[in-house]
Amino acid sequence: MRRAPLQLDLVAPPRRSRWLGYVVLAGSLLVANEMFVRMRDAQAQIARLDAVQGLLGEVRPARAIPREKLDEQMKEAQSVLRQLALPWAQLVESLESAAMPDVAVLQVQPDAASRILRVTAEAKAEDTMFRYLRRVAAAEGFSDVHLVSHQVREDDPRRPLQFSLQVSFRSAP
Amino acid sequence: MSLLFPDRLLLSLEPHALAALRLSGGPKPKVLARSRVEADPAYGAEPWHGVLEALKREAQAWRGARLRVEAVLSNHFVRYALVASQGGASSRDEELALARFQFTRIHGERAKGWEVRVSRDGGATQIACAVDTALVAELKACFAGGKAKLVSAQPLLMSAFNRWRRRIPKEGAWLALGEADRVCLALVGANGWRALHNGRGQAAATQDWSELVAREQQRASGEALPRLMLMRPAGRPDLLPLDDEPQPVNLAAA
Repeated sequence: MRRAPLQLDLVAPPRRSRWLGYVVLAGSLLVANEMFVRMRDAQAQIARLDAVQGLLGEVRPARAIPREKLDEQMKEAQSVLRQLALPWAQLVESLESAAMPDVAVLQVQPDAASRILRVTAEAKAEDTMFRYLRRVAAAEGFSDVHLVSHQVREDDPRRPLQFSLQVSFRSAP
Repeated sequence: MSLLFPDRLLLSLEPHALAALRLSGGPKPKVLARSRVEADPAYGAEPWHGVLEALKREAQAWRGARLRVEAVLSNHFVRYALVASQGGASSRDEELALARFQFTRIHGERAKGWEVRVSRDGGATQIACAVDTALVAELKACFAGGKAKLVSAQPLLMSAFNRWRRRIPKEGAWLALGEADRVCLALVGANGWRALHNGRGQAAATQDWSELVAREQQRASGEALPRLMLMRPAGRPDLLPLDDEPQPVNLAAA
């Protein structure tokens, strides 16, 4: 004879009937089975659609971007970033401090990668050119001034002396 | 320690001792540790005050571990009563109220401070137990807020019956639970609980139990009495449900 267990526990809640648990378990198994059948049907349908698509046309490979183009775009982006990072205000201020009435600056070309500034200018005479070079060398933020080229412009009636100089620059601390 | 199956901590609470057994979780539990702490049965106003003090000290070491704590309470701390099942009073609340009334009628006003439980097994007679509410509250407080969780606190009669019930034959049996200075004798008949005695006393030998059974037989009437007695000797060191198979005694031959 099977006797029911005593339920006199002072902490644990009284045990409920197991039938409720069995019903929930059976329901869960039915739902799980239904979901499994649906998943299997969906997978079969996807496989059929793939097969039909394969018969209708060739599969297009994903479009790949050439590596060279990617590198080029990367270099351009880095160059733009360097140009934007140039201390333009400091460069202009230093050039203005070296300015002379008899020297006209025609072109300024900074090279952000090597931190070099190339300046093309015109002076009335040779001594004016040298004085300008000394003033540029003394300007704040400039160093290593080199005269790259110079020539007298024969096509101009005033015969000015056109010259190019190269100077290293550094950022302000 | 497994995260899925935390270790079990079985506690035996008797007036004079606290025993603990730690088992690994999972389907094949192994004994990890076993300890015993003596308690002062004369400490405090109630017989459980001494062992609760010991438990409060010991629980500090257990609170931090992920444990499922199950406690077995000595029959010294528990009162039992048999409550006749009422045809109309079928809800749990009504049966509890009936059991409370029964305890108040036997023990007086102090029964109002007891925690009462009724076991609904569908028989003609239900068994009810009552424990001091403060004992249950302090037992819970020992493990409140820690990782160890008190999941069960059951009287010795419940612990023993639920493990021995498959050994009880169709015609029933006597259950004899001996402890130090405590005897608990229950008569389980063919149709459920018939008699229950839980009181002070010594029953060291089978002969002592036979005398108690004979006394109960004088009171019993009606259907035939069982001749099998399942006995727990009073000399067992603790109440832990480990290696505590009952001793079957044939009363006709005793």
